[in-house]
Amino acid sequence: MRLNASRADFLTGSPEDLDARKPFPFAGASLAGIVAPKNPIEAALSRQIRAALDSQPSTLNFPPVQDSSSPESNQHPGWKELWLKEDWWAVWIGLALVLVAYFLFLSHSSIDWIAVAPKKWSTLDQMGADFSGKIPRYLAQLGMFLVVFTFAGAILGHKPKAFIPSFLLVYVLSLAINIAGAWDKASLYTLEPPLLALLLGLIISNVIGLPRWMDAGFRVEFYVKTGIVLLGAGLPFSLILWAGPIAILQASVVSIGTFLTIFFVGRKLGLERTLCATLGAGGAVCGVSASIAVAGAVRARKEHPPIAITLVVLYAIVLVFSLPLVSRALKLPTGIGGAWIGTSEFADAAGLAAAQSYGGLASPATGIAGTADQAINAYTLIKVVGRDIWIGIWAFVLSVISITMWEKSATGRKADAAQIWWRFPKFVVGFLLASLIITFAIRGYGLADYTKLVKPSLTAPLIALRTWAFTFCFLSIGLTTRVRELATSGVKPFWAFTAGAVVNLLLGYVLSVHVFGQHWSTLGH
Amino acid sequence: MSSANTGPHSGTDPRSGEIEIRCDSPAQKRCCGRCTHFRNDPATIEAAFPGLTAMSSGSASVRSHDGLCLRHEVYLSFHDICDDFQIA
Repeated sequence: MRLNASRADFLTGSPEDLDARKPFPFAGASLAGIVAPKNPIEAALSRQIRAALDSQPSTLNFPPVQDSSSPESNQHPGWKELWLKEDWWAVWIGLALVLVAYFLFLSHSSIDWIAVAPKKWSTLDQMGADFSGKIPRYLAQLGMFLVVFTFAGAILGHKPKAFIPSFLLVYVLSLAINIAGAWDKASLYTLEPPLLALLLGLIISNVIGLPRWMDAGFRVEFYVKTGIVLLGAGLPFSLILWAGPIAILQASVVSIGTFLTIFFVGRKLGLERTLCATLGAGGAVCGVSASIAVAGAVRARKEHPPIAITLVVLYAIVLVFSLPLVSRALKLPTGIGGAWIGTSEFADAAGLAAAQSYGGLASPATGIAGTADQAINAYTLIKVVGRDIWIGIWAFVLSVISITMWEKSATGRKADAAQIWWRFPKFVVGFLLASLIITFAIRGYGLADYTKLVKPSLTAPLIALRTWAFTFCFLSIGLTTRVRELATSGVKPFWAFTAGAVVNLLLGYVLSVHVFGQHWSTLGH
Repeated sequence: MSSANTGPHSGTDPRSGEIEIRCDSPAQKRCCGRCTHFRNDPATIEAAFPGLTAMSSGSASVRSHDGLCLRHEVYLSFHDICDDFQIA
């Protein structure tokens, strides 16, 4: 196989591009020098990442492509994606829960019994009594999640005999995290459940270690997408229509600024255009998902997506801890903090952890104005409505540029406009439908009736289930982030991405706080 | 560069004797997604890209049906095409 020769024919790029293969700059350097730890949790995380990175070999660690599969196992485009893509399963599961909750509400019942969650507690006695009284409900809830997720997972290709024990671990740990997070002094010790879940997962996967087969149940994307569909049930459709245009405007300014910065700094440093585009999309749109979408659209080398993944994952984990801390230090209202996190955090799941943590800090004691919902809603509007849904258009535009400008010599290539739909993050469809269903369900209720009748029976249980889905997700991020296994990124990609991150953070701050601050701080009022 | 119409796997449909291997687009007779060198099942992609599952997934819609070309070692669209096409 004339692999190297054909690659040289096939790809455009200069020999200097291979400079991307220098060791990851964090290795042997101080992560604290890049983002200084502000609290013990962040410090512990920094030490953990630094220790792992220090031990990395100075060579590339891209795994060879496992050719144990065959062309017959390839997935083909078409409507089979309705059951072959996680996005659609998140839509089916999320909407089914919303509809069941709505029909039970209409018949004067509720899913409240199975949407059980720990109550706030002050003493261990209170915690123990609450837990023991709810054991049957927790078991029923576990059974429901297990049946639904195992069924969907089996169709997506995850064997039940691996998925079930793995999900049992996820549920038990999530229960412990949610109980710890229900302690009334948890926020004083930075024990918000999202950050606690992430940290616990990171420690387990990087210090203790788990067998690889257990990854079957650590499905970050599956859980976060299901949670986002359920989140739609807590967001009135009128609010999406009212705040959506500002979210799109703000996100577009930052996305374009970030992408161009990464792309042109990368080019200036001598990186390949396809790598610059892959990195730029990761920083500008929706993190790892955007990187792989654009990598496919521009025909990137197989080494390029792992470089982008490494940078997005490590930056996302640093920001998930530091953005809430900086927002807290600046005493930003929760709506503004959520908008900034939505603009500047790279990955959906990590950003949700940060936004949910920051929302949980709202109280007179902390001096942070607003509500927990404002942080989540502002985050979701910016991230999902403002950034995620445009990934297909980014990929299409970049594929046109790739074909017409970067690889003119490649014969037969055509940009496929249909990818705008095929790459569309379909869970957004579920998010919008859930919002429409609940907006329809609560029409005609005044504030008093909503608070007394609708909220406890309909929306609060759905919010509780959403919180569970997000906890599964945050824990799974930690459990699947094995720092030693991440690809070595190289010095130049690191600096290109860092330049974009700086622009992203600054622009995001200015727009969230100074330009649209009033809009985000009063979101939903 | 070899032509798609030569060699043992010429891209010829054995049933019709013509290159009639279609992707989902009627205008496209050959594409990487139908090539013997192409792999796009989620498990293969997740194994090839370390860290992918930490914040995304091989089964995500945004990935569409992109896959790896084992011949050229690139990650590309199902609908892409090159002169080294060999029918799967």
